[in-house]
Amino acid sequence: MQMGNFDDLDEELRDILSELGNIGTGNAVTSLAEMMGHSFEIKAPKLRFVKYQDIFQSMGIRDELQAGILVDVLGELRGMFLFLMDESFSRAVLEQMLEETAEDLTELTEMQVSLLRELGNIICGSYLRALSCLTGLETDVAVPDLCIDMAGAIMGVPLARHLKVSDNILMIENEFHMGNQSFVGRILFWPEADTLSAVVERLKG
Amino acid sequence: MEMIVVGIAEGKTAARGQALVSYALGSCVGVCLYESRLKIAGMAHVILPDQNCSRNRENEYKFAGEGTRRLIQEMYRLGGEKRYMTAKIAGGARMFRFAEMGWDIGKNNVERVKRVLEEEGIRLVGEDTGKDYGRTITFFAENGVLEVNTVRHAPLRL
Repeated sequence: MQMGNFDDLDEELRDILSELGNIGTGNAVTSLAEMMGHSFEIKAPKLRFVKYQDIFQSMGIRDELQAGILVDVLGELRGMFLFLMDESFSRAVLEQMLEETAEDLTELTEMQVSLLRELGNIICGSYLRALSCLTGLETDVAVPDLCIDMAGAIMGVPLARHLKVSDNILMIENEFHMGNQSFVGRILFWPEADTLSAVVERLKG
Repeated sequence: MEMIVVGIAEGKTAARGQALVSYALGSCVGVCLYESRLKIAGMAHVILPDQNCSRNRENEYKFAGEGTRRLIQEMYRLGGEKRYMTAKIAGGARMFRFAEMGWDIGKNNVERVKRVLEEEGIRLVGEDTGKDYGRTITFFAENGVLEVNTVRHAPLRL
């Protein structure tokens, strides 16, 4: 299978990747729920495989304010991990965990910023632990980095890096909600091409 | 006013009564050209510095260097003349502090655009680049005004 360009993505691989996304997210959301003392609903995973020009439209994002935590994934399982929270979700997280109201997400205190960053770290860590367990591939993560700004501008960073290699974007996306309120958090994992080959090798046997 | 959206890696032109808009530029750069005699405007939304950065080189507007050159050609094709042409640019931010792995792509994009403008003899008359925030830009063909909106600061008119 020629995967350098992500051009060829068969059904079986799609299923495997969706399932990995599911298990990773399940694990990550469990950690989040424990931290916050709240349960979450997880939507069925979406495996996005799109041309780079269509990515924003297909995700339905533009320049609305969001919080994004980007983590580089290193080791045998490589790629980029992005945890994207909409404004109301970010605010709910801060209120729940710090018991203080964050009126304006663009003016957070040091404490609030480091809490969000730590949250991303925990979510990324538990997501990857699940993947690592399942595939037997080792992973390591770099320092998580937080950016609170326009969703499109946040997404542009992993996008630009990915474009060095391929015009087709493969992204495993999971969305979850809190209670009956429609707070949206998204977990995105952009695997590197050779990582995909390794995953397939392990799982297809 | 008719708004024409310029998506990522696209380049478009507009005439009187129209405006060009690009949403959420992060490290991307919005290159805006204005021909004051004909009142035509052009905008390109570029992502990577130049073709050497990418395996797939098909679309010129993906690249700061090639995209800027291509947009200048488009302006000439519409009858624009160099002596009436000016440029304004916005974007090229560094959105993440650590996670960009030593590759300050925004800065590289801006430098590349500027170099091509200089080589082509197009005057740069307005700029809002760098720093660490996203920008949505609107460029009006009527008067060549570039409006920059962010989530943190008051709108800017260049």
